[in-house]
Amino acid sequence: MSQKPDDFQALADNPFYVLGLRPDCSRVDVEREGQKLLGMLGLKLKSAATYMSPLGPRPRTEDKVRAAMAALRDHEKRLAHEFWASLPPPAAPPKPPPAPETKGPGPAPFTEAFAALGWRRS
Amino acid sequence: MRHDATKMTEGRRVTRRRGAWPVFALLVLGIVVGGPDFVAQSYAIGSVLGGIILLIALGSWVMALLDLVGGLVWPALRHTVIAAGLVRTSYWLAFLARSSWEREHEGGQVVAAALALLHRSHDAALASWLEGKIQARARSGLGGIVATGLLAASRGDRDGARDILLGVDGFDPDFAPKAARRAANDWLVADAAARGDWITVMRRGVQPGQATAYTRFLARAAARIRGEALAGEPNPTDFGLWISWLLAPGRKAMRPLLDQARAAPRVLHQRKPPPPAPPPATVPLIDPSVHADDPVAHAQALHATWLALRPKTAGQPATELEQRLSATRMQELCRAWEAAWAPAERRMRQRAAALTAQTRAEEALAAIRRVVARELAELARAAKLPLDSFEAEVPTAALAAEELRAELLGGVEAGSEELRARTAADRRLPPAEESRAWNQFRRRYEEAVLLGGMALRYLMFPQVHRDVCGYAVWLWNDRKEYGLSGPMFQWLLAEAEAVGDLEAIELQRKNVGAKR
Repeated sequence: MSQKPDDFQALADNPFYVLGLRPDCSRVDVEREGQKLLGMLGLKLKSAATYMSPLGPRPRTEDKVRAAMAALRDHEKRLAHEFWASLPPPAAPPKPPPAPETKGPGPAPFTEAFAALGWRRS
Repeated sequence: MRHDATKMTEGRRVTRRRGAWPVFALLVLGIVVGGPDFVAQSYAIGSVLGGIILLIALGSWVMALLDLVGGLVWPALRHTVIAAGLVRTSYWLAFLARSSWEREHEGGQVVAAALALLHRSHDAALASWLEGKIQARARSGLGGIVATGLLAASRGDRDGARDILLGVDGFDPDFAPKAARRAANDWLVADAAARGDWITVMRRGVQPGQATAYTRFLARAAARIRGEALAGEPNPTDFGLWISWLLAPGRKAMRPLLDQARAAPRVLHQRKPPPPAPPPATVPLIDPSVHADDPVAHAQALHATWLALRPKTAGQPATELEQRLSATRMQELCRAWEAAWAPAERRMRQRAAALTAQTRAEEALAAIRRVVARELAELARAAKLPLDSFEAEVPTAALAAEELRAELLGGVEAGSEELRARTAADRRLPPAEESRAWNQFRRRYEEAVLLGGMALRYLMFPQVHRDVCGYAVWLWNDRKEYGLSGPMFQWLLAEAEAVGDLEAIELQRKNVGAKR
């Protein structure tokens, strides 16, 4: 199986999440939101640079937005995408829990390991 | 016959005795006729001939002396010309370290040059020159493999270098010069220490036949800090650490590690180390229990929770997924999907009608089921869950198991077929690539056995035995790659014994017994 981590596209790159819409939105909503996002991305606005998916925040690009709009214009494709967008996207990623204060399992990585042999760091 | 031969020898001696007189007579005639000039010329010729004979004798003595103290030449080169980064000089002078490189002094020359390349800033022209030398001079044997791995490291490809140098472990020790194994082990230990993989440092650092002063110090310091014993030796004392540090190269760079190790308390009795504190668990973005009333959303939330634990980049170990996704959790996920299909179908029918889509809801859902099964199989593979983890009576689980089984089996069959095709077409790879290709295939097969169990092993073995045996025989007979093919026969024998294939066992016992 030669699947790369980014191959799980059905959830992470779902067009509804890319456009920030819910499955019950109309076609007009798709066009309006898509154009708005393209404009924002053209202006390099930070607020449009990422979107939330059930797998966490993902980068949003103009290509992704255009592909999402095209996918939702096609009713056959939209049917499958609606299924995968059943979950509302999480509002924001939760804060990671604080690291435990116990001692680690060993010394920290020894960055001078190659230099100790007189080798340059590869 | 014996008698006749003695007669013949006596006859030759007589001829030789008679043959000396004309030479002597010619010499006297030359002196009488030629006078002092002839004597001077003869003296000059004699001097030159004497000088040549003396040089040959001296050369033989030097070679004999090098063989006698040969073990010192290689370390001396490593501390002088190799450490100075003189690539070409190291290559030529490494010829003198013949005894350290046993049967493959060309391998020693390319390893010396590759090590020297690591001691200086990377030079693409020198790297290309060395690559040419590896292809021309070190086509077989371990030296070429180690040099290729070090060359990859010099080019900054650490993953590739690790992959190639790990192949040294699979090489027949009878055909693996210690100097090559040590050079590879030094790099692998340094790489593990730089990545913070101290378990590997402790394991490889004191490995007999491969350990050096450098690897021993790193392993002992790590053992002391972690409060663990090394294989075959107790937790090191302060004195032991000092001595190891003094013997190791790069003392200045390693001093902080020595201080850290000395500050750690010494564990006097070997005991099981306390389990390391678990890493902070990834908090799921979506809580599946919130969607308990909607089977579709619940299944997707569970699915997303596990997908989020996959490594962020390809090649990273899926440690957290492996620790948390148990067989029970996988069954829970499969059952959640199973419960979701009926409401999903109803919902899709309604939406298909509303959208006036041509595709029937059942067809669209069938495609989604295949995607889900593929992703479940991928999750199980990443978490190293065996095929038995899937419940046969849950259709979604059965479909995922089928996907996983097909992927595992297909991967091994394709790899085996690739080896067979290359053997048949006599398509040769450089030794480092050959070792890498074999190790990749072996890992794939062993993963299939680990996840698929004996049922898959029985199924795969006949084809694998036929193809790998042909490949190993080709490497042995045609390419003289004894170091690579020897362990392959041993591996085939172990597999044949595991599946109880008597014919294969008999054949591989013969192959394992064969020596050059």
